[in-house]
Amino acid sequence: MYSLEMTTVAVSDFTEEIYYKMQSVESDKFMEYCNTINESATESAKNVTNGVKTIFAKIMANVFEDEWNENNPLLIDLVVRNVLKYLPMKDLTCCRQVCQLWNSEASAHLRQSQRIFFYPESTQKMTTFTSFVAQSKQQSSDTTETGSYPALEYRGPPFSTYCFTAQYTTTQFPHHIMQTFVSTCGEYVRKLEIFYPDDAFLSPQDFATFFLLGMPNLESIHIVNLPQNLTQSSFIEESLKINDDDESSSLTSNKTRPSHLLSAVTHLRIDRTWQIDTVWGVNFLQDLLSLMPNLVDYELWTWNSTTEDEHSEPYLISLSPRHIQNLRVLRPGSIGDRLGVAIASMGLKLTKLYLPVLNRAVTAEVIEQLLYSQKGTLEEFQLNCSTMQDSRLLTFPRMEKLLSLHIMITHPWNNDYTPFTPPIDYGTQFPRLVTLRVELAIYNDANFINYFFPLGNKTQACKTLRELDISFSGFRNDKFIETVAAIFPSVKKLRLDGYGNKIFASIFLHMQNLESLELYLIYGFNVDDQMTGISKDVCSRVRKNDKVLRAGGLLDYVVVNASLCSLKKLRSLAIKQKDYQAKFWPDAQCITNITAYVALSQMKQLSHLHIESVKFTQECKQNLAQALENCWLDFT
Amino acid sequence: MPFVNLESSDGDLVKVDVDVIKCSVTINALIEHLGLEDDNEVVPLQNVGTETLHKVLAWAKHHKDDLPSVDDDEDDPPRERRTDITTWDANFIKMEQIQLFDLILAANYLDISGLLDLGCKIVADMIKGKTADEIRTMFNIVNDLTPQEQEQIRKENEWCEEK
Repeated sequence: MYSLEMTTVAVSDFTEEIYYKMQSVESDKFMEYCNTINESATESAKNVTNGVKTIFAKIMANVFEDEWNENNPLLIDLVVRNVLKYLPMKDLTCCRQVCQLWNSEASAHLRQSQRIFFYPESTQKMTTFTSFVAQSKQQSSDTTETGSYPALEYRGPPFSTYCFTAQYTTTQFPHHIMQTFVSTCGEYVRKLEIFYPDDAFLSPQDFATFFLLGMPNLESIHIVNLPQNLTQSSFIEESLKINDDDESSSLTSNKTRPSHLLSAVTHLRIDRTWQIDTVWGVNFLQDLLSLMPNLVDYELWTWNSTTEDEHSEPYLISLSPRHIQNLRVLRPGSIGDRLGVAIASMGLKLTKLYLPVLNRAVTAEVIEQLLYSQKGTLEEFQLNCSTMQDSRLLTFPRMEKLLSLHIMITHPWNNDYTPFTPPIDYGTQFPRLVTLRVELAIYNDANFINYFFPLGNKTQACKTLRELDISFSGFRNDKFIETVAAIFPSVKKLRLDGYGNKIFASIFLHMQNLESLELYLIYGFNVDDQMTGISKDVCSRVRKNDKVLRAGGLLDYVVVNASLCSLKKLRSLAIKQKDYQAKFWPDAQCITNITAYVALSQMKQLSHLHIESVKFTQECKQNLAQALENCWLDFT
Repeated sequence: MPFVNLESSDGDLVKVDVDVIKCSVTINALIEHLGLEDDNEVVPLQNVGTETLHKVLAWAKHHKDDLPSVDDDEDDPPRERRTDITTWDANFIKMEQIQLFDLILAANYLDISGLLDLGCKIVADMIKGKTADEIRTMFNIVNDLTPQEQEQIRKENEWCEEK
C-alpha cells in the first residue's frame, strides 16, 4: 500500500505526513522495492523513485540522528515504571489508555494498591463491579466465536490478577451482594483483611462460605477483632464436611480452586482477637491453622490486658507443636508467670516478641527464662518493665541476632534500683544491635536515664548501633550525651524527645557523625546560643534588633562554642517545638531568626530540613530557601 | 586512578574525576571489572551526546557527596511518593523536552538512579491532569491498543474512578 502512494507523490511534495508514514516502513524492504521499480520503470518514474530514495535516506538519517521514535525514553519499561510511581491513582487510570506498554505498567501499579472495601455505602459500587467482572468473564468465553479480534483470555477483574485485597469492615453489608461478589470474584482474591467492629455479627456459616470456601486462592489473611460467636463453634470443620459432600455447589465448581482449600496461604496474622485467649479461641485457631499446611509464618497479636491469668493463658499452651512451629511474631496482650514459662518451654522460634504489658505478678526470672529461650532467633524485642515488681532484677542474655530493642518504663520505678543488673553491656550482649529505643516516663528522678547509660561506663562500645531514640522527661546532666556517644560511637540517627534544651550543645560537640537529628525543644528556654555557638548575651541583644541579622552583622561575632554547623555530616534535621502556651509568651521562642541566619543557612550539606511550630519571619524563610538550594524545606 | 576519559557519541573526549562519575553504576562497573587503570583509557558512550554528557556531569558533580539513597520497600510501595525537588535540581532540570528526554535516556543507560528519578518526577508532573490523548501527543507515543482493549480499559477505569 505505502509504496503505491509514494510513487505518485511528487518529490517536492514530501510532507510531514509521509515522513511519519515512512517511519513505520522497514528500510530494507523499501529500498528493495525502489530497486525493482528502477529496473522496469519509465524514465520519469525512475527519476521519481530515485528522488524518493535520496529523501528517504535523508529522512532515515534524520530519524537516527534525532533518536526520536526509537529512543523515546517513555517507551522504555524501566523509565515508564519510574515515572508512574510518582502519579496518583486518577492519573494512572489515564496512563492505561496511552499504549500497550503504559497499560501493563500502570495496571501493575494499580494492582498493588487496589482494594475492595465492603462498606454499606459501597454496595452500589460492588454490584457494578461484580456484574462487570461477570460480563468480562462471559465475553472472554464468547470472543473465540466472533473472530473479529484475537481471543483474549480473561485474567480476572481489573487490577487484580496478582493482588486483590478485600477488606471486610462491617456486617451491615447486604448478604446477597456479598454472595454474588464471592461467587464471581472470590477466585481472584489473593489477600484478605477483615476488620471487625465490636458490634459485628457474622454467622459462622457465612464466614466459612465467604472467606474460606469462597476465596480458595488466598495467599495472605489478616484478621482483626474476630467476633466472639465465631470462636465458639467448630464451624470450620463442619463447613468443610458439607463442602466435601456437595461437590456440585456453585462455589466449589471453580476450575482454579486448589485441591486443598487455603493451601496457598503463606501468611496469617491474627490481631486484637481477645477471644483467642479462650479454649474456644484455641479450637478455632487450631482449625484454621490445620487448613494452611504451607504457612510460612504467622503472627499473633492479642490486646487483652485485663483478663485474669487462668483465662488468658491457656491459648498458646494448648496449641499443638505442629501448629506453632511457624509462629514468628508474638505480641501477647499481657503476660504472666504461667504463660511466660509455657512459651519458654514450647520451643518457639520467634523473630519478634512484644511485651507491652506485664501482669503484676510476673517476675524478672520468668522474663529472663523467656528471653533465654528465644535468644538465638529474636530480632526485635519490646519490653515494658513498668509493672515488674521484683527485688531481683532483669539480666539480659547475649542475643546474637537482636537488631532492635525497645524498653519502656511508663510508671515510676523504685529509685533504689536500676531496672537491669548489671547495667546492660550493649556492645557485648547485642553484637548486631542497630536500633535502640528507650522510653521513660519518670518525672521525679532526673538521673534515672543514667541507669541505662551509666556515666563513665567501662563496657564494650556498641559499634553497630545506627539509630537511637530516647524519650525522657528530664535530661539535666550534660555529661549524658558524652556517655551515650562513647557507648554508641557509630550512631547516625538520633531522636531526643524531652526536656533536653540544656544538653543540645554537647550533641554538637560529641556526636559529629550524626546524619539525621530530630530535636524537641521545650518552650520557654531559648537555645539560640547553643544552636549557633554564640554567647547568650550577644544572642539576647541581637534578638531585640533583627536588622543586625539581615545586614549580616552577627557573622562578625566570634562563634565560641560548638554549634549545629559542627555536624558536618548531617543530612536531615528536624526541630520541633512543643509550644503549648506559646501564644501567651510570643517572645520566648526556643529558637529565632538568629539560629536560622547564623547556623541553619550555613548547613549546605542538608537535604531535608523540617521546622515545626517555630516562628521565623517570612524574609528569614526566603533567605534560608536561597541559602540551602539543595535542601527540601518543610515549615509547618 | 583519579580520572577516566569518556567519549561521547559525537566523538568528544571528556576527562572526568572518577569520584564524580561513581554515581553511574554502568561506568563504575566498567572501571571495577575492566580495571581501567591507565589514565589514557577511553570509555566510549555510544548513546550519550556531548551536550547531554556535560549536563550529566554537572549533575553528578553537584551530587557527588550525596549519601546513597535508602531503598524504598519494594514490596509495598507507598501510593503517593514525595515529589520533592530541591531548588538546585529544579533550576538544573529547566530545559526543552528533547533535552530532558536525552538526559533521561542517558541516566537510564548510565544507570544513575538519582538523576533518573529527577527526570521521571518532572515527566510525572507533566502528565498530571492530562488525558491519554494529550499524553500521546505530548510524548509522541503511538497508540497500539486494539479497540477492544481500549473499551475494556475504559470500562475498568469507569469502575475505578468512582471513588
